[in-house]
Amino acid sequence: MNKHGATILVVDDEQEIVRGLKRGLSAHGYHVLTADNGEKAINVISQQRPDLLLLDLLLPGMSGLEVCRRVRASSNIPIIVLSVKDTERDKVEALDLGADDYVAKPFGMNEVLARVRVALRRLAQPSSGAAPRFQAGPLSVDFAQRRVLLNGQEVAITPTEYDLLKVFILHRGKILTRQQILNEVWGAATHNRTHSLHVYIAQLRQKIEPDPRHPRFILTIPGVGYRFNDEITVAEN
Amino acid sequence: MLLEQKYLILSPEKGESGHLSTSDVLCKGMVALTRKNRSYKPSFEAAPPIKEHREFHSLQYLLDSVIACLGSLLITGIIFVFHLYPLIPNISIIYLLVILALASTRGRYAAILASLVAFLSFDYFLVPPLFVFTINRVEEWVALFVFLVTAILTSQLAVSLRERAEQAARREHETHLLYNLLRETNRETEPGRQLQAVAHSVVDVFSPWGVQDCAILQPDETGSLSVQASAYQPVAQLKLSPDEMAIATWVMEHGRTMGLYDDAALTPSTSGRFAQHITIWSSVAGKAVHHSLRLIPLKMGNKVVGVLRLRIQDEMGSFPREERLEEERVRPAAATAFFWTFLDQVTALVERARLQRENVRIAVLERTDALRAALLSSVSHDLRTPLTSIKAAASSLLQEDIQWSEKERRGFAKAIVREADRLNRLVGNLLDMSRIEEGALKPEKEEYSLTSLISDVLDRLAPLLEGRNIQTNLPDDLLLVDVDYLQMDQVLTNLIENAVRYTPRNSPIEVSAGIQGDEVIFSVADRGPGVPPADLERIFDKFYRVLHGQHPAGYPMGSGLGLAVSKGLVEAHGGRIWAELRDGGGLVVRVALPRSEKAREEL
Repeated sequence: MNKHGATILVVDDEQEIVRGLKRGLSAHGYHVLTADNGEKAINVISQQRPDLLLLDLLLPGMSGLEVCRRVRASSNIPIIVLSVKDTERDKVEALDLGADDYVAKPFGMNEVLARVRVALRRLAQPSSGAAPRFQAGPLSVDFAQRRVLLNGQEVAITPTEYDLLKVFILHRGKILTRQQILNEVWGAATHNRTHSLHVYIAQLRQKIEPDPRHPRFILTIPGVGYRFNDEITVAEN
Repeated sequence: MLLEQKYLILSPEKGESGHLSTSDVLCKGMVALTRKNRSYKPSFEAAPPIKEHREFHSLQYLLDSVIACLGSLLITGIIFVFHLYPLIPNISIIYLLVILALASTRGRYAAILASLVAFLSFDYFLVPPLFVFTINRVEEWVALFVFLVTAILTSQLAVSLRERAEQAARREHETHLLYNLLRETNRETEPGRQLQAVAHSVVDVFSPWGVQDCAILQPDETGSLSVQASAYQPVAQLKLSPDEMAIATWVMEHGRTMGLYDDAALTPSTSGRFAQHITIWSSVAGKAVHHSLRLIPLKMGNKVVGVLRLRIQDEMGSFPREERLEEERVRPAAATAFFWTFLDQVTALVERARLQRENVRIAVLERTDALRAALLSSVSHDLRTPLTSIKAAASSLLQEDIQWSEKERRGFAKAIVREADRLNRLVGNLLDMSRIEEGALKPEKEEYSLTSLISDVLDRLAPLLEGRNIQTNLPDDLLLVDVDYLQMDQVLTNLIENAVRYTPRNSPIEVSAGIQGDEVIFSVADRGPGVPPADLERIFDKFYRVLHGQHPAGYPMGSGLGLAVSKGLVEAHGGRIWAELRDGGGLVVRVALPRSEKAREEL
C-alpha cells in the first residue's frame, strides 16, 4: 500500500510510545525518523525533509504548539498531533495553527495508520476539491449544478447546508475545527455561531447520511470539530 | 485602614471632660453614634456597660461644700430666728438629721464639713456670749464637743454603710457582666461566632472607658498571629498594618501589654516613626479626637494564648495606660480589678474556642484521611483490574509453546483494547472529579443535538457493548441542548458503563431520550439488582460505593466515581440527575437538562 515508503518523523519524549509507533509504522512500509524534543524535531525537518510529522503536544522545553507554529511558518508538511485528554484546548489550538489532524492518547495503531494514510493521500492530491463531481458511497455531489444525490435520489438542501457540505468535501479526511468551519462557511466575522453550527450539522446529517443515527460521512470529533470521512467504501470492522 | 473618618465627627469639649456626668453623656452619645455608623452589625444583644468608679473632682467638692454649709447654716438660722436655744437644750440633735442625710447621699467629705460648720455656727450664733467663738460655761463646751464627735461618728457609719451598699451593687453588676459574657458566648456554637460574641461584650462593657473596637488575635495553624474575631468589623476587612502585627507578635511572645498612641500610628507608617510612639507618651495637641490601641496579652497561667487588640478613644474614657495596667495586674486596684477578672474570663473563652477549632480541624483531617485512604484503595483496585486483564492477555500472546488460533489471538487483542479503554475512562473520571472538587469545571456549552450525541457515544462504546442487548428509544427530534459535548459524553458513558458493569451479561440495557416541558430527559435503564431504596440518592456520593457499597457476589467492586462525576457534570450544566427503581426490577438513572435557549425561545 505504501510502496513509495513515505518518511515519517515521530516526535515524543516518551520512549515506549516512540518505539511502539516506529514498530507499527515500519511494519507498514514507512520510513521512520524520531526526535524526543522540539528543537531536534525542527532540525530534522529542515535537514531530512520528512513527508509527515507525528507530534506530541506535551514536550520538554519547546512545546508542541510552538513546534507546530514554527514548522508551519516554513513548511506545508502534514502534521498529526498526539494529545491526551488534558490538552483539549492545545489540540484545538494546534489544529487552528495549521495541524492537519490529531490522535488522542491512548491510541490504537489502526487509528494512527488511518490518519497517516489520509494525510498522505491529501498531500498526493492537493487539488482534489477542484473536481466537478464528488462521489463517496451512496452520496454524490455535482458541484457544477449544485445538486446533492443520495442513492441516486436528489436531496433538498438549503444553500447554507450546501456550503457546509462543500467545505467538508473540499477538506475531506481532515479534521475541521469549529472555528475553521465557521470561517469557511460564514466568513471571518462569525463569533457566536457555534451554536447554530451543530444544529446545521445535525440537520445536514439527517439529509445526507444513509443512517443519521450512525453517521458515516460527517463524524463528530468530540471537543474539537468534525471530519468528513470519504473512506466510506473501505470495509468497516 | 480603620474607620477613622466617622469617629472624627465627634469633638468632645476637652476642658470639661473631667466632669463625670458630662463624660457619661458624651460616652452614651459616642456609643450610639458609632453603632449607628457601623455597617456591619452582628446580632448580639448589647451588654450593659461597666459602672464607672466614682472619682471626686473639684466641681463636686465645691457642690458638696455649698450643700454642707447651707444645710448647717439653715438649721442654725431656724434655731436663731425662733429662739429655740436654750429653750430646748438638746436642739443641736437636729443637725444630725442633715448630717446623716449628707453622709448617705453626698459622702464623707460633705458630712464632716457639715458637722464642723454646725459646730462653729452653733457656737457663734447660738451659744452665749453670741457672735464670738468663746464659751463661758463648761457644760456647754462639753455638750458641743459631744455633739461634734457624735456627728462625725454617725456620719462615718452612714458613709461606710453607703459605700458597702455601693460596692455590693457594683459587684453584683460586675457578676452580671461576667455572667452575660458567658451566656452570650455559650449561645453560639460555632467557635468563630463565640469569639465574636466575646469581642462584642468587651466593647459593650468597657465602652465607658473609651473602648470602641476589640479584635482577638490568635496564632493560626501556621503559628503566625491572625485576627480571629472582631467586634464590629468582618475579620476579612480588618487588616492590621505590618507594624501592628509586629507589636502583636511581640506582645504574644513577651506577655506584656503594649500601647500605640497618636493617630499617625494607627495609619500605616514607617516603623522608625512608630518606635517613638511606643516609648513616648505623646498626646498630640490640636486634634479633636485621639485614638490609641492597646494590645493586651491574654494569659492563661504563664502561657499567652492570644492578644486582645482594643481601640480606644483617649479623651472619652479613663482607660488605664499600659504601665498602670501592668502594675495593677500584679497588685489589683479596685478600678482595674474587674478588668482583669473580665479578661481572665475572656481568656478562658478564647482558649476554649481555639481548642474547639483545633478539634474540628483534627476531626476533618481524620475524616479526610479515612476517605482518601478508602478512595485510594478503590482507585488502585480500579486501575489494577484492567491492567491485570491487559497483562494476562498480552503475556498469553507471548507464550511461545502455545499456538493460538487466529480467533484466540484476536480475542486477546480485543481484551487488551477494551481494558485499555476502561483504564482511559477511569483516568478521565479521576481528572473530572478533581476538577469538580476544585470548582475548576467550566462547561463550554454549545448547542448540540442530544440524539446525535447519544448515537455517537453508543457507536464509540461498541467494543464495551459487544454481546449486550442495547435497546434505544430515541425520538426523531434533534433534542437540542446547550452542553459541553465532552462532558455530556462522559456522563452518558459513565451511565452506560455502570449499567454494563453491574448487571448480568444477558440482561438488556435501555437508552431513551425525550422532551418533558422545558427539559430534555435521557435515561439509562437496566434490569440488574438495583440498589436499596434508601440509597437511591446516596449512590451519587463520591464515596458511596467505597464506604457503604455492598458487593453482591459476582459483581465487581468499583470506586463508584462514575455516578459522582456524572452528578457533578450534570449539575454544572444546570441539570438534574436521579435514580429510580424500575417496576419489575432494575435501576434507571435519568438526567434532565434544560432545553437549549433557542429551542425554548421558539416555543
